[in-house]
Amino acid sequence: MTHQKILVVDDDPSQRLLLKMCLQKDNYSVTEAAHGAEAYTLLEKDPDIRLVVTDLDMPVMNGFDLIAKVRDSDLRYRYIIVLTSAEDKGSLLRALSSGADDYISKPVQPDEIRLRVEGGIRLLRLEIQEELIMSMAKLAEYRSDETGYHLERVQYYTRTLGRDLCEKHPELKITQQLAEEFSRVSPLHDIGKVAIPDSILHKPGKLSGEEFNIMKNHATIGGQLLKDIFTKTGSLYLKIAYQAAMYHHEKYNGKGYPTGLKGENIPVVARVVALADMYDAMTSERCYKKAFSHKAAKKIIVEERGEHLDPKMVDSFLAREKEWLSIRERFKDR
Amino acid sequence: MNTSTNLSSLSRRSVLKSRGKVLKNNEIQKLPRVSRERLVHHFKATYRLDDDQIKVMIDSSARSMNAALAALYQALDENRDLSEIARLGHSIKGLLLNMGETQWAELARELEKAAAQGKQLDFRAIVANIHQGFEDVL
Repeated sequence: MTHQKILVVDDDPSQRLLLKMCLQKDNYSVTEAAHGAEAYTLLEKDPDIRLVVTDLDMPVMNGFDLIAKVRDSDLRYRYIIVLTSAEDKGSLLRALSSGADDYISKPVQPDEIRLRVEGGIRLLRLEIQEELIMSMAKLAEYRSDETGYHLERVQYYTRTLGRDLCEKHPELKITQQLAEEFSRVSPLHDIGKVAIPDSILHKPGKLSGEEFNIMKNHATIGGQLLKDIFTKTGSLYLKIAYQAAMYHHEKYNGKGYPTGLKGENIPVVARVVALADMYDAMTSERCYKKAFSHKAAKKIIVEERGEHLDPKMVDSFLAREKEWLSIRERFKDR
Repeated sequence: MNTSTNLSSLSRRSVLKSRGKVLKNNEIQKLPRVSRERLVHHFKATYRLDDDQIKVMIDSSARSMNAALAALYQALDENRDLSEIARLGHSIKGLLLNMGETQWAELARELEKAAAQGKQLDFRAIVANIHQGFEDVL
């Protein structure tokens, strides 16, 4: 059986020893580092160390710099608990703003450290679930025709749109954080395509009426799948993902599918993803069509203002047109 | 042994403001000397360590205390910046808290706080006081 690895970072050997003894009692595997630089090297070498308990005041590299370096890097997410004196609120705030997840006040109490570590492990498990779900989205993408950078582009278009709406339309209640969440879940919008037969998914021509009806099922299949996981886990981002998958083919005029929702009744994330997905579909080459130019795609988007698309989304697209173009350029398919 | 050192430079106002009880009326209050038995009891009761672990822990704490006290003496000998004294005071406070010596830790906290605020206390007297208090276990 493998045990969760924890890295204890403190310049004082007796402090490390005490923490180590406490954690080993609960069957954790403890690795030690005497300062931030040593800790960072260990984290680079061993991706299985997911939890760090660190002091702040240390030589060579202090705890603040270690946290910032870990957060700035491409390393896997590490749950970081800071050891601090209760009276030192300034340092605590600084550590939390640098990216620390939690803190333990000195002196260390065994029950407290056990509970804090368990909290961290719960969060890491949720993160692993999220990674699994995102991998499912990638799998769905491999199966479909939309190879290359489709998911990445849709993700960036969604973020650009979300941020702009956050500034200009407070009534939509999109915060910067929610805009990030929209972008994060957007790769899941077409996950239901895994259930569509190859003969339809990869057909190099126009779909027949019956085939199109089958294709339309991908929204309900993906939406229902994500809704089920949301019901089981209660993770809010899965609710947003479900709304994006289920309703991204709804039209503002009520003529879309699967439910024919109209206007503001369509969840806002679905209205955002609808435009991002539509623009990318038009400007990319597919097995059944050539890529449209930006100008041609823009013309159609403007024509669909208030019809297929929410006018607010179209206006935001026009306001940030240059950003959309640079995203398209940055994630160009070969 | 003189465990009551005069701290004439400590203002009455700062004494009154202090949360601690170990610096009172410009004097360091007499604190009980630290014994091995007391440390054994602390590590057993608080951390539920077994006898072997307790021995290792006490030896390690003693080494850390020696190193921390030596660093403080050296910093004072070399007239280092008060921020350095505060940092070392902070370290020794953490050690004392781990050892369950809350009153001694409070004294270290006073040292850290005064140094951080740039007050000219008789830091050497405080360090010597802590040193004497721990002589039996170092």
